[in-house]
Amino acid sequence: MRRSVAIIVFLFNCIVLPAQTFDTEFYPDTGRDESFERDESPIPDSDDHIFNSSSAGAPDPFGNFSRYRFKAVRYRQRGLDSRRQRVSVGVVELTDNLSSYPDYALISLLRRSGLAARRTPAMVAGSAHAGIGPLDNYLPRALGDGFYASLRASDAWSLAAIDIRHRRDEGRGWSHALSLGGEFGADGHILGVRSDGVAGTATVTKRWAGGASLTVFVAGGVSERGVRTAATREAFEMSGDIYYNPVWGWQEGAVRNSRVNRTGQIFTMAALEIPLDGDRTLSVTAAMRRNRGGRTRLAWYGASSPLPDYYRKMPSYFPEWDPVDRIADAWRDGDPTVSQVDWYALYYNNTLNGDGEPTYIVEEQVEQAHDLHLGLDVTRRIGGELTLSYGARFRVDRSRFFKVVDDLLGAERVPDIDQYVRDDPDGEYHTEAPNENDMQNPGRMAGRGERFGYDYAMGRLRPSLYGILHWNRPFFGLTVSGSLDHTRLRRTGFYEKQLFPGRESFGNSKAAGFTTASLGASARLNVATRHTLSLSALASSESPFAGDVFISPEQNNRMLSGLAPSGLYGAELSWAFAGEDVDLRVAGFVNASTGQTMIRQYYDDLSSTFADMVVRDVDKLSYGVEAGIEARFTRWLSLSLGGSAGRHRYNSEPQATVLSDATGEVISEGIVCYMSGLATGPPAVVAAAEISYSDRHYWRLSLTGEWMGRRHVEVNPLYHSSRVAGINPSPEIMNLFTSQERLPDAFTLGVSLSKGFVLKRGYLRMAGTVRNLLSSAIIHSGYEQMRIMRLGSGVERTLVPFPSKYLYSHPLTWSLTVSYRL
Amino acid sequence: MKKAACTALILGLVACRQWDVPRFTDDTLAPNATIGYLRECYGGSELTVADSVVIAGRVVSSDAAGNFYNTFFIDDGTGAVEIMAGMPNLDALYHPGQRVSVSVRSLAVGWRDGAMQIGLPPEPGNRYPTGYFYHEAVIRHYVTAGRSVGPPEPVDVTLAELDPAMCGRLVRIGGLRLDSLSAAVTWASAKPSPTTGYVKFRSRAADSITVVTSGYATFALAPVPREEVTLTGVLLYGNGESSREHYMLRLRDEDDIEF
Repeated sequence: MRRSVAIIVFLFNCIVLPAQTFDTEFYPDTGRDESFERDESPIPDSDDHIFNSSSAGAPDPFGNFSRYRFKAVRYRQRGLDSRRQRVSVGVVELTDNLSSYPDYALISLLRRSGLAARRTPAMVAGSAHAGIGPLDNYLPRALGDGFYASLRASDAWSLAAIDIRHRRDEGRGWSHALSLGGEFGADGHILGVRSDGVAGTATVTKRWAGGASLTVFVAGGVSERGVRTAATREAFEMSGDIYYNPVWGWQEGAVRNSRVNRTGQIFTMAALEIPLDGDRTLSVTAAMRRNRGGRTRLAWYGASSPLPDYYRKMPSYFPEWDPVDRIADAWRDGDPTVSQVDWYALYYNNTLNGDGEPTYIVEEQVEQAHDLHLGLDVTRRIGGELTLSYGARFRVDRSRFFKVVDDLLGAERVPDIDQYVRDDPDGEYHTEAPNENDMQNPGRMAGRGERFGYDYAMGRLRPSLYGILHWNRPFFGLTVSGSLDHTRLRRTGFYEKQLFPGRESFGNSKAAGFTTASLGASARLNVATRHTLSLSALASSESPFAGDVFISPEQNNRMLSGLAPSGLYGAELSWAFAGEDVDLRVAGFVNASTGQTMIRQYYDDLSSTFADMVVRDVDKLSYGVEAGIEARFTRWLSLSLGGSAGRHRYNSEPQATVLSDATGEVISEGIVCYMSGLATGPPAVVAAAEISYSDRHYWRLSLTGEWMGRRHVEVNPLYHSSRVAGINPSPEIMNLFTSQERLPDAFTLGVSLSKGFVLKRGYLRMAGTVRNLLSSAIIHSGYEQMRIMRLGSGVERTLVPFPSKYLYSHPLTWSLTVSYRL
Repeated sequence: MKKAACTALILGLVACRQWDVPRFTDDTLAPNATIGYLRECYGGSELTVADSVVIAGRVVSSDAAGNFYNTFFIDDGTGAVEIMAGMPNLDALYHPGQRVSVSVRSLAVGWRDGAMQIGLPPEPGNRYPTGYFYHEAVIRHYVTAGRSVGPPEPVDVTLAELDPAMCGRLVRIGGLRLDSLSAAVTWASAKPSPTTGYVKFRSRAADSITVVTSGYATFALAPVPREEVTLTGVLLYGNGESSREHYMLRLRDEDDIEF
């Protein structure tokens, strides 16, 4: 017990102290963090099963199989938007954050902590809400004894990782579980990418004789990740490196990345389960999440972009041969002052500004999230076949968004003004530009670590009611679920922006309220022994994402008018066969979302203005067939096959309006975006196979092949709109704007080998994995930029789209893991 | 103690690294010729320099207010030269008053509005005598910006003292009033499209000089003063919008207008 207490003290020191350096706040969205998509597949036959034994969920060979597959490309099963990824801890939903993207940092932490994850299939309400994607529910229970430790070395994403988990029953109904993990070091292929962090969880459970139980769960951690950004084909060709990362540069002989994602987080939850009588159970859950996340990036004032792949610095931009050759030579020669961030030059020029003000800084965009979750759930058995669950949820979110001066790069203080409103915001002459970011503190100068730029909070209240009825008979099952929610959103400005005085930017905005509901049903029919036919359907309405309600929340309280909940529909028909040696499942699915709104902030080259493009009535449709099979030929040899084919596409021609970001004036309206039929999301066709062999001496070998096809770059609404058609480009150039680039199909091979040793005390396993054995050059993902390039001048002026940007997946990578369990 | 050590170790592993300000070196070259001498040598000629000539001077122009674009002027007290950088936002790289050296060998010399220009040799077919450097990777082979920055000191002159050899230099001229025949209300026009403005000023002695302002300048729409003013700017000599060559002044920003 003393040892456990010591571990707990140690763990909390690790969690709480670093969190204080983050202003004791927390941060949800490390968002769209590519490294989150790293291949975290469990090592085959790893020892994790002692902690993951309940993760099987409903039999779904393809779902289980694809969960850790296709990581070489941007993949989501059934084309689901990552914002519809469903993850929860107990009854607390971790996704659906104010920033719209899941709490990747916390999800990563849960994955590594060894908590059991139970998967609820799509369309079925796991705890309260049904969704079109499956739900991964991490269950914080401290049952059973065990000790587990592993050490991993790898050349992808980070160099080393260590994980320790401990679980123990103390007797008299008490049990506890602890996990502590760390990850350190740099990626072996992509300069600038690294991952450092520590995280831990602690769970204490008390069970009483009457069946009541109390579980207290705490998770927390800090991390810092250097990330990469996408680049154009020209940058890859010039640098001769498809893993080229433009955002780092050399300083003090070390790689310094300008893009670093930092998180500090703590999540606490208490769940009380009380059997009211033999048929009814009451659960009361309270949880709180505090999160601080920051993303650093370079910012510059009155200067050109210091990023090396800025289009005006690339050889293709220049009209004359001599400079082009010289610039290309500098790239090819690997001159880091040309092809990477030239930190020395940034400091050099900053320190020459006589007023101590910077031209270049590193800023950190911060989100501090506080969530409070309350849940009241009743489960009632009615007879032997019916189970009724119902309850209420109450969720309060408040995220504060602001910028912090991360590094002044040799300067002293930065003026807290809007550097883009230096003059002429409305086309008239001003002796003084109305550029104060905060009229409450005019003339303010921000030093290192201080807030500047913008500071606002987004608040949301969401009460929900739900009910789920399960009817289970031996050959028939039916689940019907429904929910009713109300979402209330409000922005609170802490800066009074000079361009938007008074309530336009300061204080509370008007509140936006949305009432939504969902209705789902899932039926199972065992048509014959081992054969199951299932039909599921879902219809729901969704409140808009907070980021799509306010047009320019960094600046002001302006809300979009006429917003309404969007629709979300899904249906699935499947047939499953569960044999002694073979599991098989084939499913057809269709998912549709309708009436969504999205806002894109960008520099509008057609009006030479920073603008917001508001796109309404965006519909998407995904449909297809997926199949999976698990065959066990012998006790030692098994084969898994899986594949999916379908389409994921836009299904409407939305209307768009372009507004000036500074003034809110309409630049262009009545724009039609011809997006219907364009592909969106992950590959339309994927297939994978894995063959595994193991023997009685604890050897295990598995080979995996994955194929991903019919992939496309993500389109932007501008290129495919009447606004671009209105500039009357030639048919050839119009084709450049409107054609959607198809990405090459991708194929990877992987192999893993492990060997276990039974020791006097415990069990030791060594495992090695090699991914992308052929070291194929695979484009992970690509997207169209929102910029339009002007070539030539006068009557010879031509407008062409910017080149798309891409990320490449890793080449051959390896990892070695040594694990021990007692 | 062990616990503290472990905690410190873990914190250290994930702590944000602090980066120091680098130690800087001034890599400017020592000049072996003055700009005035170079002007005399190449007066009016368009050529590519074969000699190992190094000049140095201080930046006297500024593109912060948008009235200079793509080029900057350096002045060493004997004359000035326009460097054909071919990049926007030059103030961030070549600060006003910063000492800059230029290795002129294999660069082209040309002339515009009386000012000597230095840039890359033009491509075949290019009608201009000099080409732009376009990129820091190119210009830094010839132009080195030093650590010394001081306020660019204009030369105080009268209109009568102006000389074409002063073209490109920063000059300050007092006792000027808007020409009585001028209908100019603003320095330039910005609507419907930005257009360069030419506003004539006269001295008490009735000599005149034209202030040239880009339609993209931040002060293009500022009112032209009616009272007597002292103007500071880069001196030029050319046709402007008239058929006759005359002196012109290009202001850096509104602070160049003193009442």
